[in-house]
This record gives sequence, structure tokens and C-alpha cells, in this order.
Amino acid sequence: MRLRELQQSFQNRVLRHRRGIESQLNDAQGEDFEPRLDAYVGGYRTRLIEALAATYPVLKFTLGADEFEQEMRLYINSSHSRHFSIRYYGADVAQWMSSSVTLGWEGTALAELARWEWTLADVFDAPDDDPLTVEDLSEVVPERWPTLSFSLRACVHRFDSRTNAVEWWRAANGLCEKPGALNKTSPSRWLIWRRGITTLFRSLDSIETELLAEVRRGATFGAMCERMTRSVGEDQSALRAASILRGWLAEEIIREPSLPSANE
Amino acid sequence: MKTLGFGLGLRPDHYDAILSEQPSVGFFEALTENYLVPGGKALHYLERIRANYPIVLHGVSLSIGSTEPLNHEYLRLLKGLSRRIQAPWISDHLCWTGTEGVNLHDLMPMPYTEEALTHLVPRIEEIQEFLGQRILLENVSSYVGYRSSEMSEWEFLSELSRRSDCLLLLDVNNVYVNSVNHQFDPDAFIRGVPRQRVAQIHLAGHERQDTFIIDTHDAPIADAVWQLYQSAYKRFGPVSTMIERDANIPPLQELLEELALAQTTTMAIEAAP
Repeated sequence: MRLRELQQSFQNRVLRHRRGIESQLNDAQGEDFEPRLDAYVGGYRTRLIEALAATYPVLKFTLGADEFEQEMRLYINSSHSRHFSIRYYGADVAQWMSSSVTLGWEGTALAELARWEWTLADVFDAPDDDPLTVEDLSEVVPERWPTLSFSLRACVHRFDSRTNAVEWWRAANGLCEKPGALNKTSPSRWLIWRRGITTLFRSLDSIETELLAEVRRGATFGAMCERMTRSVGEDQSALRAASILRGWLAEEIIREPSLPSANE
Repeated sequence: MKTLGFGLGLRPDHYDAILSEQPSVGFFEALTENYLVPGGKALHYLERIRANYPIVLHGVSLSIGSTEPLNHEYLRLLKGLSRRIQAPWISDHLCWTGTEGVNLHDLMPMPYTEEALTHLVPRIEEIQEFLGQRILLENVSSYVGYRSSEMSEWEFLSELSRRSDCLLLLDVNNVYVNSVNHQFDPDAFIRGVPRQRVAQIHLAGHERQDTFIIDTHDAPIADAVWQLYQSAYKRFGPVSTMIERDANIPPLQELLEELALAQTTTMAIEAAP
């Protein structure tokens, strides 16, 4: 058997339990052969489950270790790792859980919890772009302000929720009282970002949510003020927009114009 | 290649202790893939620790033996990371980690054949050309062997390093594990590997099953591996040596004490008449 076929055959055994590689291996009739082969076949699943547990600790806590393993084994059977880093293997867990026919509504809530934990992981190792500061803006002449536009740092994510998954996650980490159950709630929106190496999050009101969306679309400060006019009136719009912007600068969610990539 | 003395695998559990205690360690070895990320905590600590220690890179996803094309994006990021921390060298494993676009995240064994050598050599040469330096390839533990193998593992390593001009990372634990699993004399392995090619040594723990050994890196170094390390030191001399621990990670101090044993072992050999 040529090298290519040999590797395909061995991989088929690991991924799909398909027999065939045995004829190419030494001592395939030996009594300890299956345990040896299982070091690869079982080891593959064990490693992926460990990686998924590291990414989804509260999902595991919520399901319990046994059910988590059972669900993740189904996920592993449905999805192969294609990235050089095992860190990215769980990218589709939320989508997979939401489409699970066995989990029903619970699947939707668990999927949201998974999406929250995946977002936290993305924030955790997002690029180290520098935040824009109040001092950076102090040199801008007043005439330029209406045409200024801003960008969000790469670590900034908005998380839209239809369940109490965030509260559930906070309770699991000892940050609040545990809700009675993981279930449907009125919609809420969250901002997640990183300051230095610390991941932070807070809830968003509707005005801030819309302004952040404007910033993502590349809106100018003038456009932000215009948007605020609808909420607080023309007299207060610039003041209110400036106040929100000042808060974002303090929170370090706006980035400096240049963004050097980490490993370039 | 310059020896860096005695080192440890860099693990997140020890980041703060390394920075606060500044242990007397010659170098750290970072797991490449953990740092091929855009930013954040891992890179933050890597750079801070790099300020005080040399850090070599040790990968698990080069998949040098796979019949898939090389992953050039991976190589580009690897080169960038290596430059960023000025890694004295880059190592990975003599294995394949997947085919057909899949990564098994395991170190799958190669058959020791002429076909495999012919496949591997130009891939190693391409990588070394791209990185602008020789790479180190590590002998892996294996639990099954192939009927098609035409030579011993050490003959394969020797021929591969000769033809591709790569260097070797000798994992003494893996030599011992394979000697039990495939029933050969581990000293024959040590004697069979070309002295001038070994640029780094790994020491690690393993787990004994009923009839074979699994390379778990979750326990202290076994007595038999310490004995084999003596043979390795006598043959290869003061090569950069480090301890790998990937699970059941103890406090840093415990690993430093184990590393001191390695130093004591070599000092005793040097002092012997």
C-alpha cells in the first residue's frame, strides 16, 4: 500500500471506525492489538473532548460531564477538525446544538450559552490593537469633529441574547445568584471586549447599540450626533454623543487608526 | 548548534511563577500552535518571559509526513512568530497529523520506507529554505508499527537527517516507549542516531498499560528513562535538554527539582573517571 493510501486508511479507522488498516500493521492478530489501536482511535476523541471542555466550561457544567461528553461525541462524529490549532475545533458547536433535534428548546438555550463562550474565546485572543485615548483626540480641532469617524477594536463584539445564558454563565462563575433555569427571556444585548489581557462585558441599551452599529458602518461623529437627535433632541445630541464616546474611550473599545498584525 | 542548557516546557499554569520567581532555567520551549493567535494573554506572557529567557518553538501541526501539500499559511505564521520572539530554533515531529484536510491532532507514525524518505526530504528542504534555518524533527512514540517498514526507526532518522540536512530532537522517553512497544534495544537506538545531528533532548513521563506504554507526559520521568538519558548524555554530550509535562501539571518548583536531577545526572557522568 502506498503512503497516501496508508494514511487514508489509518485516518478512516480513527475517524469512522472503518477497518482496513489492520492488514498493514504489525501484530494485528496479537491480543493487545486493539488497545494499541485504540490509543489512536479513542485518543482522538478524548483530545477533542478535552479541547471542547476547555472552550465550553459552563456548557459542560450545565449539561454535566457525562451528557457533555455524549453530546460532544455526536458533534465530533459530525465535524472533523480542519485547523492547525485544536483551539478552533469548537467553532460550530453552537450551530450544531441549535439544530439538534433531541434537545428542542433546551438546545436553543444551550446553543446561546455555547455562542457566548465561543465569543469569550474569540475576545480572549483577538489582535492586540491599541486603543484610541482622550489624549489622542484632544489635538483635534473643533471644526474637524463632525467628520471624524472611528473604528472598534478587533476584540469588540456585540452579543444579542434571547435567553438568560449570560446570567447563567455569570452565576456559574460566582458573579451573581443562580437563575432558576436556563430559559427564554426578553431580548438583551451585551458588549464584550478586552482591556489589556482582561476580558470585560456589560449590557447595552438601545441607544448605545444603535450608535455602535453606526460606528461599525463607518459613520462620522456628525452622523452619530444626528442619530442622537432622534433620541434626546438637537440641543442635547452632541453632548450626549460626546459623553458616550468618552465612555468608550475610557473603556478602550475604540482603536487607533493603524492595526499591526500580531505575527506578521 | 549552541546549547541552551536545561529547560522546561512553557505552560500557562506557570506564567506568573516564572515572572515572579525568575527560576534559573536555561530556556523555555513553547508549544507553537498555542501562540499562533492574533493577540491576547498567551502572546502577552510569551513576550514577557522572552525578555528574560530564550524560547524555542515546538510544534505539533507541521504534519511533515502527510501526503497532503504543506500548509503555507501555517508556515507563514510560524515564521512570523519565530522572528517575533527570536526563537533560537524551531522543532516539530517526524509524523503525519492528518490527510484530506483533516487534522487528527495526534502524532501518527510513519512507515520506515524508502518511499517515505523520498516523500519527506523535499518537504523538509522546502520548509528549511522558507524559514531560512534548519529545523529539528522529533522521534515520536508509537503504539503500532507497519509491515512495510524496511529499516529501523534510528536508521530512518539517520538517513532522513543526512539527506535533508535537518537536525534531530531526541525524545529519550519516546525511545524508551517505542523500545517496549516494538521490542528493540533502546541503547541500539541511541547508538544508531548520528551524534552531530542531535540538537535537543526531551525528557518526559509515560503511562504503562498492560502490555504497552502510552506517551502521556503526565507523570515524572521514569527510572528506565533516566537510565537511558545517561546513555544519551554519554553519546551526545551537553545538548540542550528539557522536561515536557502536558497533563497533571505540578507546581513549577516540582518541575525545577526534576530538572535539577537531569543536571545532577550529567554532572555525575562528567565527574566519573
